[in-house]
Amino acid sequence: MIDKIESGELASPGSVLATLCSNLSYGFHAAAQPLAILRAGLDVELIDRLNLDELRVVATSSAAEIERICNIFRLLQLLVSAECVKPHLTATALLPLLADASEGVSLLFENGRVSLRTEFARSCQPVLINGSKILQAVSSILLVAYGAARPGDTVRLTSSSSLNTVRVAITNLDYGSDTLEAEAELSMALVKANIRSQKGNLTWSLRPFNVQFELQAVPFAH
Amino acid sequence: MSSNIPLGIENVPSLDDLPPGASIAPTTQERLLCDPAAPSSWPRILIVDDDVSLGKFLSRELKRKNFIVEVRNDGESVSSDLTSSAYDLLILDLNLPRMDGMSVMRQVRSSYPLLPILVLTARNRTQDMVAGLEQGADDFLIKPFSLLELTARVKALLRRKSTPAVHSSKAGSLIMNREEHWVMRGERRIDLTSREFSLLEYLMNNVGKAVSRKTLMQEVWNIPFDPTTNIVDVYMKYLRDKIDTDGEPKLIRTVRGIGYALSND
Repeated sequence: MIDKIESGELASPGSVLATLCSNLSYGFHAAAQPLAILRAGLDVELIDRLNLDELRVVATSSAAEIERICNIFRLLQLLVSAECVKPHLTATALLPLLADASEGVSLLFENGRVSLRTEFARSCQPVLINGSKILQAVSSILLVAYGAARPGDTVRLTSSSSLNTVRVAITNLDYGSDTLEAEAELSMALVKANIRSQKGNLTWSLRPFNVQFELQAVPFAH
Repeated sequence: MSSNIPLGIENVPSLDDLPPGASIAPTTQERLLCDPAAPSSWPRILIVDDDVSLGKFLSRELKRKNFIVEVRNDGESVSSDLTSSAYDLLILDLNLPRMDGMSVMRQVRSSYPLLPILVLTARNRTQDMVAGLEQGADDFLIKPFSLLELTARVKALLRRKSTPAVHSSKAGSLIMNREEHWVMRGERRIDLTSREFSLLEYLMNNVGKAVSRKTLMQEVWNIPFDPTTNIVDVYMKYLRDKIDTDGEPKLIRTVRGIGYALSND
């Protein structure tokens, strides 16, 4: 089993590399759980003694663990890519992206009886971003917010704009969660890496749920 | 793109077709998978991957899906292979010994502009994908991938090759017009949200096949991993409530352990 590295153990805490190492170690640790189940279940000697029906059960349960490992592996790949590769940034209108992200989860929230309120700045300068990655980031945060909400809660997606920056906030001031599932934790690490790589700045807390990030605006031409 | 499997009966027997307790001896299985009498109408695929095990595995599984498959472990012979045999699709790994995948792709694309190329890669950087697409790749699949997804992409590329783009599609009594953005079931017009429309569009593009939740997350929500919510199930429920009303045959089916499929009747 691979142990998680605590932040205090990092050689140079705070650096991008240290953060990446910490997240990778967290991901390896998370992947070790389904791997342990697979290793125990797919024992060759044990399998030899199983009939076809029993084999089918082993295969079905193993498939779920493999999916989980692939999911974690995919997140780790994206994380390394987000930390190490400069994204291609273009001036992009943020509000349509936020509206798209909100529309993409609205029925999930409705079904879970979690209210999703959106309040966007009336006018908003274009921001210098990779639109696809920001859309992915906002969608991921909304899904994590949903996972950490109770029925009856209100999650707010808001944007505000100043001269040089555009700020986006996803909050649930009613509630939060003390812990996240491993995949949700990794997807938040990915969100953070993506925002940082786009010269943005993200802060977040779980209880109450409050994720905020700022992106650099492209100044309006005078 | 998609992780779909055909719902119809396959021509090649699989382990699922055997009675409980039965087994297939390796020689029999090998014979089934490498049937020399495979109809010449089956699509021909050339796989180029330096990982011998992966090549063998992909070959075996695609043969089970009624494709004729050849595998090469380096890129040098690809041009001559394509000259000597007609292939319908090239599955190409980017990391190859002697001649790298990008060079192979450039070479192939200049001689065979219409041959669909599906790139397999462990690189997930946007620049690599953009470069690959600029060099002529038709689609990308990032390792690790599911076999269902690979099969679906292979089929989609082959379908794209053989059919011109259409603006409307039909599944049973359900008609979708992409250009004008409307959906009808019989005489009934169905109002869908933007996301529901995308979801249905994806199912209609893969009618009759099971599509996994993960694939739908990737293709409809642009999220390449499972966010550990039931978002796909929830949207599918809303969509199903609009598509399959009381008294009508159910078009959207849940495929246990996989995801969903849209039936044709």
